[in-house]
Amino acid sequence: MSPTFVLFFTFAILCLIRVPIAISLGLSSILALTMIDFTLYPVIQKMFSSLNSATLMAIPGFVFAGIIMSKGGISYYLIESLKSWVGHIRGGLAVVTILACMIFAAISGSSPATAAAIGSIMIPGMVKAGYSKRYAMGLVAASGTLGILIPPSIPLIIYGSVAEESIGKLFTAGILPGLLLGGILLISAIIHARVNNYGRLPKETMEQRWKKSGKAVWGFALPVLILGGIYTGIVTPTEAAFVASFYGVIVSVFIYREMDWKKFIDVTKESINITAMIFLIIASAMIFGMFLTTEQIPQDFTAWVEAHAANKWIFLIAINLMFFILGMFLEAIAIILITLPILLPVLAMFDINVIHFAIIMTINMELAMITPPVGLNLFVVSGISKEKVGEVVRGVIPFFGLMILALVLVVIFPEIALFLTR
Amino acid sequence: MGFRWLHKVEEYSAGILFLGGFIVSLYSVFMRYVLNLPPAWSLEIFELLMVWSIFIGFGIALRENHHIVIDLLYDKLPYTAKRAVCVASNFIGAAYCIFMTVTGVQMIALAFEQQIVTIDVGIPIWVTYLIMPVGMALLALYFIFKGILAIKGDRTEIIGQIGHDIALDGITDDKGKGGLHL
Repeated sequence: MSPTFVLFFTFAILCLIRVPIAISLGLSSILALTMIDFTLYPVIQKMFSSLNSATLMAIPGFVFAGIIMSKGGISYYLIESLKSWVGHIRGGLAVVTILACMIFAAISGSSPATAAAIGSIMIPGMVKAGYSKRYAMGLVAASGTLGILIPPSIPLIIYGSVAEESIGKLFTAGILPGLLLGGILLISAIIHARVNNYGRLPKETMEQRWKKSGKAVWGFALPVLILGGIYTGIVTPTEAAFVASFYGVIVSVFIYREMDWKKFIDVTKESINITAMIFLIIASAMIFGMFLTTEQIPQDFTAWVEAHAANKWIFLIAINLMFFILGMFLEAIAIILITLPILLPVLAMFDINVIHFAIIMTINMELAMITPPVGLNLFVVSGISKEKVGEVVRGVIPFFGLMILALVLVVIFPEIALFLTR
Repeated sequence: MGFRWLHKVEEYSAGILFLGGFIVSLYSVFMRYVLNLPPAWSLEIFELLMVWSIFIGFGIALRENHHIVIDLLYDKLPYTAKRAVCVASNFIGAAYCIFMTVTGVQMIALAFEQQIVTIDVGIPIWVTYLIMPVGMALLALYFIFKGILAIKGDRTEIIGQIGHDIALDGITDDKGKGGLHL
């Protein structure tokens, strides 16, 4: 048995018997490395020192910022303001949901966080206004995935650290595709609400609207602060994340008065929990990466692709299908860390732009968040709406088509991703 | 029961390290742009604090069932099989973590002999490695606890609350889940 076979076989078995994905990956990589008679001590040392990376430390920052946003009232006031402007049109609440997800996505880098923050407020709101609960859940699960496409984005940070690409550039590349997918969702939501004759909110006066927007302006300013800070180069993405968190704390404590000491402790604890969960996967993936390098798997794979795939398009179609299948079982961060080191040399061979590919991969990861049986957004929405995961899946099915449409557009027209990066 | 104090120690140390890193990050931005005096030590200290906080967090996250598992097959198993699988998976996790703890200790011993120091601040590198065995030992400890609970037949440990225990961003209350609350 080849070490590579042993690695993937044990990884699959361990995952199936419910060993955490991170441990499964680390353990199977160590086994495979032992088979090729590798001294393990330097592997572990290298794993440890590569976690010490300023780029990766943007992850705790954006996790922190996202949780402060949702717990400190910032997302609540954003939604209130959006509702006052568009709540009265037919489909208005669906529009509010999507827009709120887009704004939240521009502050947080995570899809489940986006779905949780917006869904916990909007799903009950939509159901109350006569939307079908199944649709409301599907809409939140799907629009929540924008969290990783619209910058900042944790998967893009991880992609950048593996591919050694500028995080700022990757973030910029996510903007237009994010707006495109958001736009597609908006159009579909309005049509859907008109066909089904969903209820709407009473129209508010201009005075009320400005009052609510004035209250929400602190939240609206946050994406500008984060993205502006990164693009002008004033702060690194990591610093931007922590500056945004600081701003979030100040706004929630002194302006909204929604955060006390106890809540702040909870927010911190939760940020550590989620960061630790992500970093345990990253740590194992580092060991896995070292196995790939020693065994020259990426080179072998490139040679194999060169011999079998006729052209770039066949390769891209195959890769997208592979991502879709992996996305059914694994979550985004693990998929990126496992596949990207193998794929990078092939990208060079087919002359596929690494930044363009980052966006293709990210949209695939969005799909991974909502493809059963394992999809984090499905679980999050099922958790907040107290419905079975299967029911959320039924709600989310119509959105696959829309997301695949956006994916195909981005694959065919690289400029959607690359235009702003030039 | 007896381990509450350990949970507190973990949570406080991870929290203080995390917030420490947060403050160092803000401080360096402030010094660089407001006072134009970028501190040379800040990045290294920031990374150190964060990594330490994260390594302590590994165990906390396991205790509160935040690590992602695939329970596709598991959910379909009958109770007795679930119990066996649950015991096995936790002890496999523990074995891996014990291995990492031991390797971590070796790493420290070797780095101690080599006397390498970090570039900016000059902290001996073995000191920065200390968290590796500590974090991994804590993680191993919680795997063992969970394994023991499963052997004893603790239903919340084996079944969890709603069949899957992935909770991101606190949407599910941790206390209601099958987490370890000794």
